[in-house]
Amino acid sequence: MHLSTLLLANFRNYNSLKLECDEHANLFLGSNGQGKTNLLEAIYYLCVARSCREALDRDLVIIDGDAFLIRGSGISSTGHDVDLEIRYARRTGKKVLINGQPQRNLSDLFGSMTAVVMSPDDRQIVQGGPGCRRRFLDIAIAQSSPAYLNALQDYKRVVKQRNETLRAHQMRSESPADLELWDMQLVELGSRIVQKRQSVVLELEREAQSLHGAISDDKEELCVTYKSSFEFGKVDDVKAAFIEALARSEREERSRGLTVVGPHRDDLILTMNGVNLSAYGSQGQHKTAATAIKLSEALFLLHKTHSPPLLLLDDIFAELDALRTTRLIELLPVFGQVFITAAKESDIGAHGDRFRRFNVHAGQVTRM
Amino acid sequence: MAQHSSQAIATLIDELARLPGVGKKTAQRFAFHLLRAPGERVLALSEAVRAIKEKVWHCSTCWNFTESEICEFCTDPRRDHSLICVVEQPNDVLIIEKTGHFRGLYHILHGSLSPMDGIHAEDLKIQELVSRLNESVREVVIATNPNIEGNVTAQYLARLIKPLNILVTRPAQGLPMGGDLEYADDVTISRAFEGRTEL
Repeated sequence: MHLSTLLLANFRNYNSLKLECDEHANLFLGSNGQGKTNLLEAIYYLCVARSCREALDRDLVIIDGDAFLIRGSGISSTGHDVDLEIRYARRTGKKVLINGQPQRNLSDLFGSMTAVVMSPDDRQIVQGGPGCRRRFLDIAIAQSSPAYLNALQDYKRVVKQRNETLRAHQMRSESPADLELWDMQLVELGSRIVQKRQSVVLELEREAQSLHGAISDDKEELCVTYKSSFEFGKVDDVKAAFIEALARSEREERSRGLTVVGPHRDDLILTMNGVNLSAYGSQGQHKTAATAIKLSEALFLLHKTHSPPLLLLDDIFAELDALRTTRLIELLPVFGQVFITAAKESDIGAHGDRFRRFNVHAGQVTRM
Repeated sequence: MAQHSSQAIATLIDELARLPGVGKKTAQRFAFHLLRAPGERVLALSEAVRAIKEKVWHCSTCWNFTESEICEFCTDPRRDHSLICVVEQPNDVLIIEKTGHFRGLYHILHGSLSPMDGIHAEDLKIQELVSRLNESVREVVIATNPNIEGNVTAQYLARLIKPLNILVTRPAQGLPMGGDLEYADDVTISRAFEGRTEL
């Protein structure tokens, strides 16, 4: 899989841009605020129809504009020629076209091309709240299994409906007959999500452990475990355990009007030599762990879809020491097509000549 | 906002713009089209619009739209009165009728259970359905939409109706005709396999 051309119109600070990408390695150089990250954001957006910086769609439109367009052509994860296009207009919202055909659901886009973006913000996976880790996990799974995204969206809807039902019962104090119906949907969808996440975390952990050793000399062992909001033994027991957990928390749920167990309350626990990283790790440990985990997402997608995802590295080398930079650059060929941004070429050591180099200045990109 | 030379035109544009899928610009186009159109056509349109409010109401049995007390489906002796198909909207009846395959009666709920939109059981025509179910009714087909809310509504109805010893069914869910297996999602495929039939 790779992206051969990228076309932008009225996206962030790009009025109009046409870019011919190298099949393997692309390096975007330029000082801050010129639009390097916006380029990676556009490529990411083309793969998953959302911003990697959690920006709202309307904020991606150029200042004083009404609409933006991102179009890219290349080879899809299934090895076919593909032309992806996303149009957004403030008035009419988002439209996805694959090979010129409008798609009914945004989820139809998932999997055509996959992308993993790495940036200094990845530390949030270690340092941020459970929501950051669930988001990381969900995007990794959704890109390899579009049906997961549908189940997740349905699940979130069921949680809302169920919460509303719980609140309605607080006010009207009638028998919770319909609550049981929402419970059935909650358990059905929720169990599928928990099972899928559990199995993916095992794969991610395996990849992360080997990567962690490859990019650092640390002899410490990185462990990633899925923490469900309810305990279960075997994967087959998830449904029964979920039902039991719901029964146990009935009183709390009724008084709070909230669904308190389920995958929307789950978390990933990261430990180094058995010590919880989020609570105790050093800044350096956080950085290496975050890098290993994000790269493990890329390896996971590579093994799942048999095609390496687009790897978007946003200014991550400035933070790494020379040894780690070299090791990471040496790992890159495993990943297929790579897009890197850096303020100056020295940030990536003496490896610049491996890349097709572009200069980014005030929304203009020129080949160097 | 543009100022119109006539209050009547401005009012018409405002009213047209309330229609689903019609924005300000389309509403203006419609309004100026009507201004140019022959008088009798415009009057025919306004009569047609007025008539749906003066002549059309709900069938007191199935809650479909009708111009009589009871609709033409419910009074048709050639239809199977022991079979009732439950749908969410009147529009769903048109879709099922187009196939010509279903010869029973209908019941329109006018929505599906959706607490987050403030729609609870008592807001739907559920009590009206239950009161229709006498001993001559053999089967109820619940054809609510195959989404979260439609499924929950179907379950809710099944619980109410089954104790009355009436067969409750749901249309099969599965692969679309002319579709490729390759493009169907996991859920659709597993549903289709659960509901497989013998050849």
